[in-house]
Amino acid sequence: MIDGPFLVEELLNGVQLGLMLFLMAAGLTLTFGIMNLVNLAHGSFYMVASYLAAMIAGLTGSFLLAAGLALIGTLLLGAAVEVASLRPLYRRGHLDQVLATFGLTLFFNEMSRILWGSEPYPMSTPSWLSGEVQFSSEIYYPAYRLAISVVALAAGGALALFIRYTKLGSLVRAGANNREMLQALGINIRLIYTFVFGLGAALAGLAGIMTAPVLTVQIGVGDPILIVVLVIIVIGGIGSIVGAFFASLLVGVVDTFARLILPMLFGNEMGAPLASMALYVLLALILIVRPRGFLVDS
Amino acid sequence: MRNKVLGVVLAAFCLLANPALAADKIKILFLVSLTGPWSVFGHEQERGLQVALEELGNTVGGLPVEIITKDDQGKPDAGLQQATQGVQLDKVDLITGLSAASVMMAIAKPMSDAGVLMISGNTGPTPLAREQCTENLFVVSYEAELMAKATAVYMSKVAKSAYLLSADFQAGWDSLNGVKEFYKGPVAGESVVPVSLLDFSSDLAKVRASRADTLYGFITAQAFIGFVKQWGQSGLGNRGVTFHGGVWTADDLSFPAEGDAPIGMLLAAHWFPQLDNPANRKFVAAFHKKFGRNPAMQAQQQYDVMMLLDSAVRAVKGHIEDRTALRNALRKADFASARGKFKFGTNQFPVQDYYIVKVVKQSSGELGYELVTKILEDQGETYMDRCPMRW
Repeated sequence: MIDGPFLVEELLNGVQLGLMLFLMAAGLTLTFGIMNLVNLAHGSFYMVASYLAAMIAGLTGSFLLAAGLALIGTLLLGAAVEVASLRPLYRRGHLDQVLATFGLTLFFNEMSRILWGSEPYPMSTPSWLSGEVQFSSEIYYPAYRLAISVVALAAGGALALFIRYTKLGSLVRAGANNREMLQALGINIRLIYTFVFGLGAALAGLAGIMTAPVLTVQIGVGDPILIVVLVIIVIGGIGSIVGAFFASLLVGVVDTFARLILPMLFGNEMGAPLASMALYVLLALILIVRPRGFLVDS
Repeated sequence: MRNKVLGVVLAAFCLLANPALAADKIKILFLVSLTGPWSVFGHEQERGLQVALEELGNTVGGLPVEIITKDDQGKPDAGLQQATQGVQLDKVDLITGLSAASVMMAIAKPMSDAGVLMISGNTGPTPLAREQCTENLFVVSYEAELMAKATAVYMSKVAKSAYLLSADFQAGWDSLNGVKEFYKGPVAGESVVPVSLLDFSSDLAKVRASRADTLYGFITAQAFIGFVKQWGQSGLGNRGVTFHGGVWTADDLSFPAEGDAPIGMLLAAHWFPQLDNPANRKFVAAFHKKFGRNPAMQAQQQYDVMMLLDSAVRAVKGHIEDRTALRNALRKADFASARGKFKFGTNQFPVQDYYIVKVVKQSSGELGYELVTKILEDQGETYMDRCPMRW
């Protein structure tokens, strides 16, 4: 049963999962690293973006238009949330931030329920991406899933270029390294925070928009993903986007193959719960060897 | 002094007289999942209820009806809390709705022990059809394992090798056990996935690698739309793999969201909109008029619950407080079901026919069902004598 085409397909699945997680992790690690803010509401941006995209796609029939508008909408929403509710939290401890942003999650869930109802909201894949890509006579993969990986890679690349080569990007990098110094230099740290938060929200939103046609758009869809993303940013090192990238790929592939191999080794009853645990065992092992995460420069 | 004595005597008479009078209305707790994983089913049940109430003129068996709707959120503890509140605070006469197996399993014993009548419009967990059966529970929908049996018996006829996919909760276990017991062909592989899983790409990859020509899938309410879409995207249907499952996988509730992906799926059903009998024609027409589409099975089941109740309350002439008489009237199931015929087994679960239907594109361009065969006739619980009730 395990043959070449199958392994290739599972590898593609793992990479796609990893790249999608990276979109969420990049934003979260930036927020945590630069603003020292634990944001449990990150999954809500994933969800709201999905709803916006599904709604606009339903109204206009255009996937691209829906994706674009939903992305802009999520960016603005992120900025608005930061300005309206997060500023008092920067001074406070992580526990207060956890409580407050958890409350935000509940708020977004109920708001979505009011706006869009409790039932799953449909969104179709665009017809020009509904086919398959044939790699060889045996290996083929849904075109849309490849598109998800491509878009995520492109977004990651754009983010890397931005951070490395633009002035604003270098300010963001500086803030990740040394927040106090940046403030001492008189840079308007507030605006940077708003921007970083909005950017993170937009990245999470991109993940939500891309996966909406494949999964179902419903209340709370982003919240279980958030737990995995937290594991990723710890493995990769808080504040490191490169770390988040490699950690995401690692987690995506490990999770996918754990769900494949463990039930085969231990049978379904033991294997399925073990596969769910695999991620956290990985986290524990990495932290034993590298307590600050893999790629954080100390 | 005489007035006081008169007053007490009159009061005593009133108290004595009360039990002999029929109830002046019937209070029903409609406990369904309006939020949570099974909310899709709960809302459809609500629509079936509305159609039934309109037809009955907001009365049941001649008694005016008061419906108290509560959301169990798909959680057993919330469901139990709502049920207890309904019984103790609102003093309901019976509980119906019941979308989720987990909620049903949580409330069955406490409510039954308290003497509360329950009529399920959707969930039918197998343990309650066997050893844990109770005279206070009537299931009008179907027993989870029998739907799987219908699929399995058909699969035994047409499948060369099957991959089995199910979800890790009560109804998922019941269905998988049902398939494994009655499917006689080779099993190429098996997956039991967490209830929360939304992305089936890995499992579809395993199906492809297993070279099975048949996929049996029991997918939960929150994931099945995504699953059907992923099934379509995987291209397996075009490469000689047929999907077998329960009719809720692709029905009039989910067709709009699923596109063309369900075409070719072979689904087991105890009822479908195209079933030809007078009661069903009337029900489907009324539903279509009100909601602009065909009903899904959850609506039909809840509609049948109300029609059954109506017949039973009429038979006891409104004396619903006489639980024994009401129970006997319910057992008779003397009503015109949209399924064509309906009767209860001694475990108070239905004894009914099961069909295999194929999802096809109709001339109107919309999706619908084509009857392939009647696969099981007058099918009741396989191990009926494990339920100790006799009547």
